Amino acid sequence: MMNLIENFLLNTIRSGTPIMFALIGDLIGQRAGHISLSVEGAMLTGCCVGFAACYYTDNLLLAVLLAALAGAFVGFLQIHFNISCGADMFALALAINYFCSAVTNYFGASLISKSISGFGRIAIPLLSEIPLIGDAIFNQDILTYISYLLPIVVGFILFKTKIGTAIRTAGEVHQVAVAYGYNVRLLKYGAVMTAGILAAVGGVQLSCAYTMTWTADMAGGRGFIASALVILCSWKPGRAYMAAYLFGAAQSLQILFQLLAIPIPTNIVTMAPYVVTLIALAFISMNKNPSMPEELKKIGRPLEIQN
Amino acid sequence: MKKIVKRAARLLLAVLVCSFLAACGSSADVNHSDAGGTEGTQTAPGKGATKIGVLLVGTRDDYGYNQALYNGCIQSGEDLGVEIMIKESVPEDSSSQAVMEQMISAGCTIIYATSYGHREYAELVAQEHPEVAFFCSNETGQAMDNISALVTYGWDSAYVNGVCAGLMTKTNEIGFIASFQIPVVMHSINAFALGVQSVNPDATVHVVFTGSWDDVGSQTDAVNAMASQNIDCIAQYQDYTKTICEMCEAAGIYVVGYHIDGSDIAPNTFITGTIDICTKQTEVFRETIEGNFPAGIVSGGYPEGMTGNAPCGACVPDDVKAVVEDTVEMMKEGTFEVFAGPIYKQDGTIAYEEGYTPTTEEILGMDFLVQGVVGLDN
Repeated sequence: MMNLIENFLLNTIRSGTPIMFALIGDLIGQRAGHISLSVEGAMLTGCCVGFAACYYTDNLLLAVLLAALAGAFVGFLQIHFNISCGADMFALALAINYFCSAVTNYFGASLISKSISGFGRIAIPLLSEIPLIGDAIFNQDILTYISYLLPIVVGFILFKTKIGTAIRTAGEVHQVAVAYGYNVRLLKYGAVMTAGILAAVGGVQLSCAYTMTWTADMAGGRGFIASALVILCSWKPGRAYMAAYLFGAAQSLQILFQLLAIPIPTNIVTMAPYVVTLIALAFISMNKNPSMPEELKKIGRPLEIQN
Repeated sequence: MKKIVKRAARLLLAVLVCSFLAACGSSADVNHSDAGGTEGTQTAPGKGATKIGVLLVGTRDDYGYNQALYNGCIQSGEDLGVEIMIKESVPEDSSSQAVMEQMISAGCTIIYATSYGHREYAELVAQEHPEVAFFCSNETGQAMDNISALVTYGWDSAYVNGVCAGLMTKTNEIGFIASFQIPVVMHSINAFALGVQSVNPDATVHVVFTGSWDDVGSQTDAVNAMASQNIDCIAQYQDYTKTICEMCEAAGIYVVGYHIDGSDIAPNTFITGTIDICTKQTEVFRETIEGNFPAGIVSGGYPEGMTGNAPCGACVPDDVKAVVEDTVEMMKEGTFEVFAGPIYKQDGTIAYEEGYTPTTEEILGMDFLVQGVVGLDN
């Protein structure tokens, strides 16, 4: 039983961490009024670049930096073609994702058979000794520790600092931000590129810490899920813990239920986070006083039927 | 002026991106000329072929299905003294049709379209080129004079895997990481479990379906979860096997491979595994070149030489090795039926009565798990 709970926690955190990075990233972007479905491509690129850097240099910091750079580039494509060229942000994101998939398949082909030592687990003294939860939570890789702090740090920046207020204003009524003398264009570029960077770092965690593997299209929709989970968080970073680990828990339970022969069909368990997101989406959309950034409401505005 | 420069820059960028994508997608030149081939003649398809074109859906070093096929085809080429033209990462859409056309214009008169989804496009190309012999991996589809399916029945080698795993486990808890609850996977799990039970009736097989052929995240979670449940041997039915092999090696868990020999990535824990061997494929290609194209289906398991097992890994003691080798010999003779009754389902009800041996069609439609397997069949 002890083993089971420990394993449940461990798998929940490990599968939730890549989601956490992409989720917080896209949350920043959405707060600035821009939905980046391309976090999927950014994560995939991060997986590939991080793995390549780990393999060729064995320098973990370099792996994260290069992946972040690649992620920033993906974010740049997303925001630049939207703001400066007027492309539809969703169509654009799909094109970017296919682009990332093709590029990483091409350059990553020779990496598939390679092995890396990657990010080792670092036990935090004392805390990792706590029975039941210690080993799962406090004996993790460095990127996972960073992901623990991410929602708090980003929440602080968004809500307690001037720059955060500016980003949020850009996503609510951008004219106000302009009136206050902010460069809205720059703010949006920054926010969406940060989304790309964080998603790519999540990708590094996925390929170099969690699975120690590179395979084609390994992000497997995790970026899309993260982007959808932003809604579940109602754009509040603190709720990212709930959303990311809800997804991680479903992943983890899906396997444990099977191992314990608990007769709940696997598809039902894996469906759970999506069902919760759908319900949350419906509630948030019906809410009279929603937390949805105003600029987002202009995108995909529901059809008003008059009869 | 500024506007023109901007537009030109954008156009240039678009062209660059397009050409780059094109380069990623396909390295062969598109050539629509119908030169070559033996049009009009009534010879058997693929007769006298000097070039064989092979389409892979993935990459050659994926430690799985594609790598097995790649190695097999290269070997066939060496054995037959013909040129093998391999195109990796061919998607299961109309672009595979273009790849086949390119290969034919380059002189290939035998085409091996290895992924299930390639078949419908192979049929289209086959209609246009009756002189070219086509091989696919699935039998479902239009029957044509110049298409043949190379179908491997995996239950023989899965049973051998089970025998090895049943003898190697010390905790009597064996894991099986599978993909989907579909017949081809179900009968492999069942054959594996029957192999385990034949040598170790106390052992339990715990199966986990990941819902994917290659999601490395789910694979990682499954290995971690199994390790926490006292499981000391893990078998798999996945397309991509490297992650599971490496994780088992790191955790000191015995691992059964799939498609290819994983002993180089798990030198201390790899015990054996199903491998798709090429002896039969080489033979079929040879017959085709000689003018005896086997239209229809070429299928089978061990007796027909369609499947095999990787040699036992270094961790397997000699007495276990001997039992495994005896089982392989027994399989090759073709007198042993893996699913000969009595076979019981998980809930104890009888699936095949004593004295009854299910037909191949019945096995290919298997939708239950046998007794002794812990896991969900839906």
